[in-house]
Amino acid sequence: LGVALLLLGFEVTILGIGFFGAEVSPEYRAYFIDRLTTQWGTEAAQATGLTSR
Amino acid sequence: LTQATSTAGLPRLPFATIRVWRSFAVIVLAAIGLRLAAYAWLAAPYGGLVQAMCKFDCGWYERIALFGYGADADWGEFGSIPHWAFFPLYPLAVSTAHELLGLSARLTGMLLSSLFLAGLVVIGAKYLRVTRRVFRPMLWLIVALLFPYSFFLSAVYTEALFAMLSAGSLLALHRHRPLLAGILAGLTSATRPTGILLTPIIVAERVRALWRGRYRQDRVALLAETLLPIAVAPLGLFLYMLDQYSSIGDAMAFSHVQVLWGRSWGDPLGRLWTGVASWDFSLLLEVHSNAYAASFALVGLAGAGWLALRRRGAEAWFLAGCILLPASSGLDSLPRFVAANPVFLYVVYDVSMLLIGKRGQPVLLAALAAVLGALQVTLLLAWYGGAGAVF
Repeated sequence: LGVALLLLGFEVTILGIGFFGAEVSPEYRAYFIDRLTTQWGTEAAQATGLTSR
Repeated sequence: LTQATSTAGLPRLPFATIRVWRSFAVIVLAAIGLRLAAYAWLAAPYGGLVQAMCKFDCGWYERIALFGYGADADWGEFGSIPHWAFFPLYPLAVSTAHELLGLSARLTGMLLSSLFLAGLVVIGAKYLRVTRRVFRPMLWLIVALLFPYSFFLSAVYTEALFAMLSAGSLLALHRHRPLLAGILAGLTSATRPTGILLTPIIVAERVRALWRGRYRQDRVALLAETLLPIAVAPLGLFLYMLDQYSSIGDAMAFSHVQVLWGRSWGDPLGRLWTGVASWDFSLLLEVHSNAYAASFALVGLAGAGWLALRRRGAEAWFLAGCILLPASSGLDSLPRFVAANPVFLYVVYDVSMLLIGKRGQPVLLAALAAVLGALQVTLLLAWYGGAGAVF
């Protein structure tokens, strides 16, 4: 049971980081935002959530 | 084998013995070997088997297997960024086998995929035998090895590993071995993102088991039996997310990077409808046809609906999810995602069973094999020629 709870805790943390808390590196963010904005406009870029991080 | 497993109620002893299963596995391996020989013969004008089979994503898997997710100058300014879309278990297996065998990564990948295909055929046989009223091994062998898109199951793609692991997880769950099902689901989620769709199946089964055991005295053990398979099932995906977070700071990089292929999130049913409405079947076998990809997905969804009507909820969920999840970001590769899905192959088996009847006249079996084989050769030659539509 301990192992199961530990794993579930780890997974919830990663999920939280993935969706809400990631600190994305500036180069990576710049690359994606640029690519997204060029192809689909600012709205699509903002929809990924990367612009606000 | 057919007689030994004929109808429900009759003894199944012979097929259940290890000796018969071993013979079946040898037949499967021999059939896959013959199939590879036929592929090689057809590939002669295209530079040989290994080169002809390695198209599109094969190159990504090969480079990840050889150089990892690190620097890669092969895609110009994008460097190694596209690598993140490809999940690690298959390239890791290819890399390990490549080191051990000393063969080229492409050949190693093909041999591994073929081995995984053999695993899928045997696991699928065991699954069909316990879940269908009538099981005919020869028909299953024909469906698994001759279905038009099944050449992907011998290519340097994740299809064979994904199909074998997910089929294994469903079989383990059916045999009331939830922890094994969870471990196999965890490996599936490290192979492809849609592997995560096995987790809700395991959750549902474990919740049912929890309800059934509600009067047990050992509550802690009951809770552990419930939670451990659930916790293990998505572990592959979460470990990959952790790896991406620690290396580039984005745990969802595998999803974000899909933009490079023009994929963005949207309504999957709307996309399928738009795809069919575009009616660009004339592009088939030349470039990508949206109508063809969407139609293939709809056939898969119809199969899932049929399974649901037959009260095969887990199979229906997994097949529908494996179609709708990728369809929500685009129509590319949908025929491959549908046709190499083990549950879709089970549906094809069921439908073939209906068509040829329970007695399965040899002439009808041969006719089915001929039709499927001819279609596969057509697609395979298009694949060798680099037709994007097949992909």
